[in-house]
Amino acid sequence: MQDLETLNFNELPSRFPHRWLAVKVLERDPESGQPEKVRVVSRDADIYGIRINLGRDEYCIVYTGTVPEEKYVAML
Amino acid sequence: MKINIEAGKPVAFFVRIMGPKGVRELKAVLGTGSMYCSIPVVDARELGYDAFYDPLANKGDGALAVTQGGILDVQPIILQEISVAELSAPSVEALVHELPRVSGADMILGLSFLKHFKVTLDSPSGLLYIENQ
Repeated sequence: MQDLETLNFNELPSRFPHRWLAVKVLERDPESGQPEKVRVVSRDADIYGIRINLGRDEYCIVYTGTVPEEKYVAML
Repeated sequence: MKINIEAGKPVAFFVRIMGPKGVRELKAVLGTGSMYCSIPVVDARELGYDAFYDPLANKGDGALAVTQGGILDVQPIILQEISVAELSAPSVEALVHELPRVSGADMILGLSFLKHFKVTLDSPSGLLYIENQ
């Protein structure tokens, strides 16, 4: 699938909840370099599915689900 | 490069990874205690690297990575470049390793990248600065 609509990066969790997305980055924040405007290229419920569906073109991988914060402590 | 952070939470942001066969942008967690960066197996393969333990590309000698979870066999590779905002570092050492999915991050941005820059973690102000020296 390919959504041709340009979206604000912050809209992604509400538009595509609990999904792995591949997005083309159209605009970035100049100070942080983080994506601001994007176009969704593909979406999948699976972390690997999103990658398998795509070729080697440049894209950004985004997870729109929630990261558990209760009873989990990050020790990376 | 300046980015907002939340005190007491993992510092994570998107970085661009360049390999022999492409570019990918992944969410990285800042790892000042990690000697190397890490990237997932599937992304390493797509970027053109032989990924250790991958039956389709089972090459390489591997290395041992000491983590909180024990000692792991991993594939060391040299990423052509990692960049974020206006900053870029060439030939960055990395390990092919999957982070737990619940972490919400794909990779660790470790010292093999950070050693090229001045890094300031200003928790009271909620800002991370990564700058050329």
